[in-house]
Amino acid sequence: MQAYIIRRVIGAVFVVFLVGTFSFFAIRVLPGDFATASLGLDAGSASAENIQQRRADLGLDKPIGEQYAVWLWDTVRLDLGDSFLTQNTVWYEIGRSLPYSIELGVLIMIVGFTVAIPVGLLSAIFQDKLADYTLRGLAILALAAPVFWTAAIASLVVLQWDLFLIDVIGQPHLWEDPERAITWYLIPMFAGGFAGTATTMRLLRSQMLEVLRQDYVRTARAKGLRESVVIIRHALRNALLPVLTVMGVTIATIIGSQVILENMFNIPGIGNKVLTSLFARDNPVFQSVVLIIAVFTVLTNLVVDILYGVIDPRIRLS
Amino acid sequence: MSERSYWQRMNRKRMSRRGILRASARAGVGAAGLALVGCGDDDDDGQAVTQVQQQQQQTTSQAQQQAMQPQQQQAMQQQTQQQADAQAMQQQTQEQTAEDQAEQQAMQQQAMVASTKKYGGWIVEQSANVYETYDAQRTVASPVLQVLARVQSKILRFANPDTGDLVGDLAETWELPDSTTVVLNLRDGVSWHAEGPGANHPAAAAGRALTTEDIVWNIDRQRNKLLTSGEEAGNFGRSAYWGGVASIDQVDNSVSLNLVEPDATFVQGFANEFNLINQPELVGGTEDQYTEVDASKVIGTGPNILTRWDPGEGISAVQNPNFYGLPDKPHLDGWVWVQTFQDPNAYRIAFEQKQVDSMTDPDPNTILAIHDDLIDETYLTYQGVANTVAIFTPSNKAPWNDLRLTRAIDLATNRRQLIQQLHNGLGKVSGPVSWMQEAWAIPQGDLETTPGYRVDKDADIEEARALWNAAGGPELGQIDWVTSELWASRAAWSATPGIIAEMFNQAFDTDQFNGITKPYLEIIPSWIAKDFDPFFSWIPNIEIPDARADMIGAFTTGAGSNYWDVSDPYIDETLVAAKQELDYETAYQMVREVQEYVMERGQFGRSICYNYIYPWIGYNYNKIEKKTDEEGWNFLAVSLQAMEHYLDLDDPSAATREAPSPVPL
Amino acid sequence: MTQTLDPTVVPLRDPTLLDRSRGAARSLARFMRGKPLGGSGLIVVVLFILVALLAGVIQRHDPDEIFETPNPDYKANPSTLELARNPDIGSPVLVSQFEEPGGDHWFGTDKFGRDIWSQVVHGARLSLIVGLGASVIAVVGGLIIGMISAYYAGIVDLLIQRIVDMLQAIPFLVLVLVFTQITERSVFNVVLWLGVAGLAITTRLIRSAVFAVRESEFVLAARVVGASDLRIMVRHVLPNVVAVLIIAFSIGIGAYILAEASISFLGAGPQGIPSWGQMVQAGRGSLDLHPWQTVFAGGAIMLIVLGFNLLGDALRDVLDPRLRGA
Repeated sequence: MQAYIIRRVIGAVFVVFLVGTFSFFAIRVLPGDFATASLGLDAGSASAENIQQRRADLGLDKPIGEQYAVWLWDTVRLDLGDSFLTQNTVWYEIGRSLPYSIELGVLIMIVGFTVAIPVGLLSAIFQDKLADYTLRGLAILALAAPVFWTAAIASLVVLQWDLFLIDVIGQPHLWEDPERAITWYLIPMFAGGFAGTATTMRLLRSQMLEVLRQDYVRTARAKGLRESVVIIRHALRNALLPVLTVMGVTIATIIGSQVILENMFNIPGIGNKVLTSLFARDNPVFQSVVLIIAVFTVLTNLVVDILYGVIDPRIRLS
Repeated sequence: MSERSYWQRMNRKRMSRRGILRASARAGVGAAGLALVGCGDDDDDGQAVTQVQQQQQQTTSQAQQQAMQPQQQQAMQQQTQQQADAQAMQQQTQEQTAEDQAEQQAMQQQAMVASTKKYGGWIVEQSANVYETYDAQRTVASPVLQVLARVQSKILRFANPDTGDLVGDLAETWELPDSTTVVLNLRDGVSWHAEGPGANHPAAAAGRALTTEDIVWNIDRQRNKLLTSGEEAGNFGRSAYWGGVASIDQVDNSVSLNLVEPDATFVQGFANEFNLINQPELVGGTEDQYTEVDASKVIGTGPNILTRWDPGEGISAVQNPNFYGLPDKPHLDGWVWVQTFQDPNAYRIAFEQKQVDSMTDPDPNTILAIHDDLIDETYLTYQGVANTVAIFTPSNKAPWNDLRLTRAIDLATNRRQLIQQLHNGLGKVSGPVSWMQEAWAIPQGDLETTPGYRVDKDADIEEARALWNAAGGPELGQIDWVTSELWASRAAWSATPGIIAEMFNQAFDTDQFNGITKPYLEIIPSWIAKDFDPFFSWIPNIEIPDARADMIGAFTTGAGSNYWDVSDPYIDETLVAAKQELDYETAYQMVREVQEYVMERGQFGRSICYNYIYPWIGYNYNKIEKKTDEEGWNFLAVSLQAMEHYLDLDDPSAATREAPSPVPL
Repeated sequence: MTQTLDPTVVPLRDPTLLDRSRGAARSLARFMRGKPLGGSGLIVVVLFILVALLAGVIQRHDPDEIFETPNPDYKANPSTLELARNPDIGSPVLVSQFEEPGGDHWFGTDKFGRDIWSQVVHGARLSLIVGLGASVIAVVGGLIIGMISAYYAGIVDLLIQRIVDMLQAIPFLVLVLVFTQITERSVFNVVLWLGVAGLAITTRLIRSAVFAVRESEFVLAARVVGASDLRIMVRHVLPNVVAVLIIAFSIGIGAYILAEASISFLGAGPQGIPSWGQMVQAGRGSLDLHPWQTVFAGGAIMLIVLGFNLLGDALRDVLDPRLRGA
């Protein structure tokens, strides 16, 4: 068991190292750098001297090998450097943006679950009946609609009818100003939540179908228990466990993948940071934020793997 | 009928603006001009006085009109009338109708309303995203000015940025004793900010009075490109301009600049928004960290004190209690800039819900739609955009060094169609000199028959096609036409690469042209290396209303923005002569001849297309200073806004939002 | 690592589930009857393929063509204020902007005076090329890497798995955005990079399927009779993972189409060809006044992704023995 855990931890550390190296080189392979990006519109009046000066100021004129060595050593010491763009430390930027992404991620998951569980349940109970087709069709439709499209139409409706305030400036946290925060998150959380419903619902449906064929469910039915009791107490409880596990793993990914929604609603989260730092070639922020997302993902996978290993000895051998 | 007279009234207005421009162009050299722009200069030399008298004699026939003008405008009007071309003048006098009188009365009333400006309140606006430095002298990027021009002062500033009308800022008055000398008489009682993060910086000299030494230090560091450490820095953006100063003398509270050569454009440069005056102690003392933007490194003499400067989060400024203009100006308690909205819809949401007080968008439709929604609460302002849109052909290398091809491209460029497609018609075609530099541009009417700009586009295209075929255009294979990614990233303009390619494909009846986008990251180095692809985008070529500087920069041998390696003795000689020419009419003729010469050669690949007009929407309570009811300024006029902007919180549309919480002093 | 959590990865018994002997038509009919959702998905997909193939015929107009009409209100030399009050006066020829659907332009025209119908029709080409192309690249690449991984096992497998882990630890959209910015954004490059970004998932799916088959009895039997590794892979393992390949192929298509639409929406998509994502973005500014471009383009994305997802789901149901017959 111990050997298994050690193996897994080493693997995880290696993956994080790979991600860091990848993002370090990726942002530098892309054409251009921050020195030219920041001069932007004023291309006409930018001179070679200007750009050279900027590059030297930012340390971008050093050979890439040296930059990599410096980055590696700094990162190992948990020094992520300063943002080119805002000049704050990268830790500050992450500390500021991560809570927003977690908030939105959790809200999206809540919406996803609230919709997916009844839908998955009903669709399994009424398998191959009209209700099943309709619900599944709708869930797949939600998955198919691009979030940026649904969110755009939803925000238009809110504006047109003046339904509520979308506080794109105050950027309140849920614990600071729940009312303003929730109205701000409302459209992105539903747009994102609906889109994610189909996956959860499909998984739950297939798990339910399997569980409903199990002997203990048949026994429960034979005992004359009411159908609702059978389904909720016996079937759903067992079907839900694997679903929850899978969703637990995806939360890490969700945090990093709300790029478009965060962008559209001015949510200063991690996804937004990835996007701005990528387009502005803000190397320190980009490589660190991608690294942080990777650490989250790898860590959750690691925990799940180890737990599975504890539960199921066969896995340890694979 | 009403439309016709309306049209002619407009024409007259334009004429008078043009006249003012001409007058102020003279202001660069003669005291008569200075008197006109109201700077209170007493040292008239005899010649200038006679000039004014002559003008008065010539224009007595228009006494009727003068009677309706406030005194200050009267003098300007005289010059206007005198200098306008004969035909228009005739038309104008004929059109002196009752309607005109009514309009002028309305204008006077408006002026009275304006004098009841209210005090107090906070304005909330969107900020830019990237600020590369807090030292305006070491940047070419304009977002920095949006912040600094409200906090720091210049030697002079524009009272009217479009005409080039000047007023004193740090220099209360200025004199031009001869063609190579400028004397600046500094204002008394100006002191550096005494409070705020910048004043608390250990290196700062808080509350100290402004001295002539300060001005000299600022000019010296820029013209010598030297830092206090003695190190040379290449990024002083206006070093070429300040290089025109040969030596500086200080007498009492005056600074006297001796120019290297007569330069009729020099005085306007004092008011260039980039030429802000830094405090030697603070900026000099923090030069090694000049890229680390932070409120604590900013001190100024301006109407506001910067309290917060956290790019990407927020910026705020509060009123400077020791500002020399108080108690009149500024009106506002302070400014708050919120971070940039990356998504246009987020911006719209913020505006519609009064989280910001104003909004602009590249797509006029968006602004019009919002205005329709909030018709009772908002108003529109249209302002010219000084970034000129152009088609660039690399005429410095094969195959484009065959000027027939370059000219074919210039002729085929369907400028009016682009204005339609990209800006919904809100824009006007520009010759080599932009229409926004009204005093120097070829009038729109004349452009309508100039090849490349003809209203009869078919004639242009026919000519273009003949040139294209004759020069072997069809054998060039695929031609990628680059649009900058920044341009195409705006939804309203996202289809630009395609429509540019289609424009040329249709014109030359081919499918050789292919539209692509590239980021500035790739484009800038290629321009610096003078090895760029055919390109469509804007260029920030206009810094001051006087067009001569821009023309010299683009077309004279070896000039900074001459990416096409144009080297033509005729252009060189004529433009240099025009720059030194003190008489406006002569200088205008010279610049015009060069423009025509350039246009006959396909503008050497720098095919200026147009300047578009940006709709700006604000709530009725947000009283921004503008040219007329609906027309805003062509040029960046931050310092003007800093002085004149106010909020009418009694207006029914006033936001009920709580005062924003800026970092207090 | 986490492949145990993936519900789609299951050992397979008999892959030839769509019985070949009865003829394609009959099994198709049976599929349609048995899987009405999948059947409707198939119809949608076939329709879009037809539209894309016949785009040149049914387009009615060139998608790049700019429509114009002469302007009777043209006035020479307008002032800024006049333009502000009536922007149309400044040009002798007016671009036919924002025409309503109907008449000559079935879906109306966009801001640039181009026919929306022809753009939507040509957008189908891009979406299909992207969806199918990227999926093919991801599956073929995944098959090769997955086979190598399973074939060599040991250290090679370990390294490949870690690289796959690395790719999966980065959000898909971010990966695609980074990749597509490296090269010029031609259609081919975007398709290629989408496929590369999708490699992680397909490699993982296929590798575990190959592993499962490799341990099965008939492979052991082949090994006993002395067949070479390569022969075993090609002759015995490959046919038995075909079902997984089909699943991996079909479930990815919708995601790639959405990913392309997303990066186009963010302004980083392929250039020089009408793209639905880019159309949604372009029309969004005036959504309330002129919704057609955004509505039609967004609707098209939704419909085609829906079609592929329904089809993919049904195929998986059919090919996945755990759910089959349930």
